[in-house]
Amino acid sequence: MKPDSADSPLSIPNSSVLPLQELQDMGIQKLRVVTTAQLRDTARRAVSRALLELLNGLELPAEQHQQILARAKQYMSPTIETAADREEATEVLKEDREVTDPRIKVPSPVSQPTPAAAQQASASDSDGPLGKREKALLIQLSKLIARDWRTELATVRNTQNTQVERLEMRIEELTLALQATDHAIAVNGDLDIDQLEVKSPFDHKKSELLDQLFQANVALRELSEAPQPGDLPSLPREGRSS
Amino acid sequence: MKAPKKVQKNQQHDVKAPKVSSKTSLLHVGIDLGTSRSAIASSNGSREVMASLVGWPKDSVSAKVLGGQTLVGDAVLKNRLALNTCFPLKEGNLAYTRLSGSEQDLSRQAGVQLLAALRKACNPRPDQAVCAVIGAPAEATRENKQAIVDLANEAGIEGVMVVSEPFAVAYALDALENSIVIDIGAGTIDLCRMAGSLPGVEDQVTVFRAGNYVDQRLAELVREAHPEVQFTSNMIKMAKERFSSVIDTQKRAIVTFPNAGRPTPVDITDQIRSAVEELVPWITAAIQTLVASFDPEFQHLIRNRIIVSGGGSQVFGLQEALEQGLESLGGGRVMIVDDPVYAGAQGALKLAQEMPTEYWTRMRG
Repeated sequence: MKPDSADSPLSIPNSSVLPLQELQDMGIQKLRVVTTAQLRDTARRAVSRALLELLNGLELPAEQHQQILARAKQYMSPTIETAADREEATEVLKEDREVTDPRIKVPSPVSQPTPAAAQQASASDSDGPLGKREKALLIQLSKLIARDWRTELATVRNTQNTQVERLEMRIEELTLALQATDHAIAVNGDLDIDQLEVKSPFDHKKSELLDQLFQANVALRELSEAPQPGDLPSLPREGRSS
Repeated sequence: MKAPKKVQKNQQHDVKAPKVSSKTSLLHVGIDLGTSRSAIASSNGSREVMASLVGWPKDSVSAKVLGGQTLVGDAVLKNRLALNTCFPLKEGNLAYTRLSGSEQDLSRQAGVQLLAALRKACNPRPDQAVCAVIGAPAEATRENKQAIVDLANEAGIEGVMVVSEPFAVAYALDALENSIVIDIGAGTIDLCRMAGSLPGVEDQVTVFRAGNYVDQRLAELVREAHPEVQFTSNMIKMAKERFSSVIDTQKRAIVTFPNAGRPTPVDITDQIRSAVEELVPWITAAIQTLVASFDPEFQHLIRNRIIVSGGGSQVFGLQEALEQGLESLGGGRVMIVDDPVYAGAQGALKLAQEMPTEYWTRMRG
């Protein structure tokens, strides 16, 4: 890992540049390449959306309200990726490739078109930098990536939630036990340790269980010491007999 | 089964233990005697987990290198090339009861050594008598329970009581009513239905397909998919413990196995998932057996309190997989214990501590 250099086109404080091999070792199989302009645009849109949500709750003069609304809406409209943005993305990739394993090939978002591809591109929709088929492919790809990540996130979140629930229950139990102990100590510091124990509804059942377990082990011991003529009947309430 | 008299006589010189009496102080311990790993927890606060494996030096050279001593636990794994090794437990039970001749003597001796090592791990004072509750598989035979008592006595554990392993876990968690405890070990998966009393035969089920079965299946599947790589059962076990999951995740299980002597990365994600998934139907079938034979009025209660413990409970996604399997039974709730490695030993220790002293006095060896 190397720190993000200050002259990098995507300089973000406290961020770092990782070699692709290292990312693959961490289990990351897919990457989405985002240009600086796209990142800025996304941030602007997020801020605008938050602003729009907050705006209704603010008491502002109508003129200011309109100005803010207009400014926020301006950033909410989708921007078109320019050729300059794509160039910038290619530069970032080139820079990254210098420090990564040379065996790993990252496909550039702007590759040199082959004659056949150029022909196909001219045949496709000419109203934008990408053809309809490419756009559809990109949307499908984007959906697939999003679905993978959502599944993964949902799985991890469910597991974590269960663990948190379990720990919370345990903390609650321990807190109650601690409170009971504190109370007992406060009432009488000289109490015997047996008297400090909080009696649960199962305590009488426990002593019965201990007695049953003891009896079963006594019977086991007696059978062990006694001569064994053939097969003996199983012990009451203690597993399977041989 | 009683030990041969010759063996017992020889071992009397090795182990000297004080008798349990009102004048001697007691050290209570709980032991989870497992096929792959055994754990001990004691009332003086010490606890330890070790491989259930004993090794003797192969020849005079290895005896010199290792100081001529018998090794027990993880040290055996590290020095296994210089040792003759023995797993004293098989499918949760002491293996020597099913053997004969010199093999039986060796396996029996290994059992004593393992229990002696566990006893030593809890550092009893010379004036303390060790009183242990030892967890056995849910369906352990009477013969095996007797064998455990005999060997523990020989290992210097004076007071011994044997208890069903899942019952010990239930006792640790105060889940004594309307619950099912599942202990997933290496040799067996033990299930125990708790209904507020000491579980009987009808309350317990043992599945003889557990961690070792997964290792075996994983080795078969890897050999099938990557016939060119070399591996041992220990390498397979380590890979399983590191990557085991029943969920289709993006994370890949990449291990490095030698191929013609050259370390080669191998992707065994699919093989691990397949091998681990094979256990789920067996567990759900056993749960169904216990639920179906329970009082119909209370079946929904035990379905919703299924507690899983043991090393095998750490498989990623097992909780969800079991809950999915329970959907055909009308659904259920599965919980994984917080401390699966020591849950059995802690429960056994709790039983030992709460057992009245007079009972321990009567259980003297």
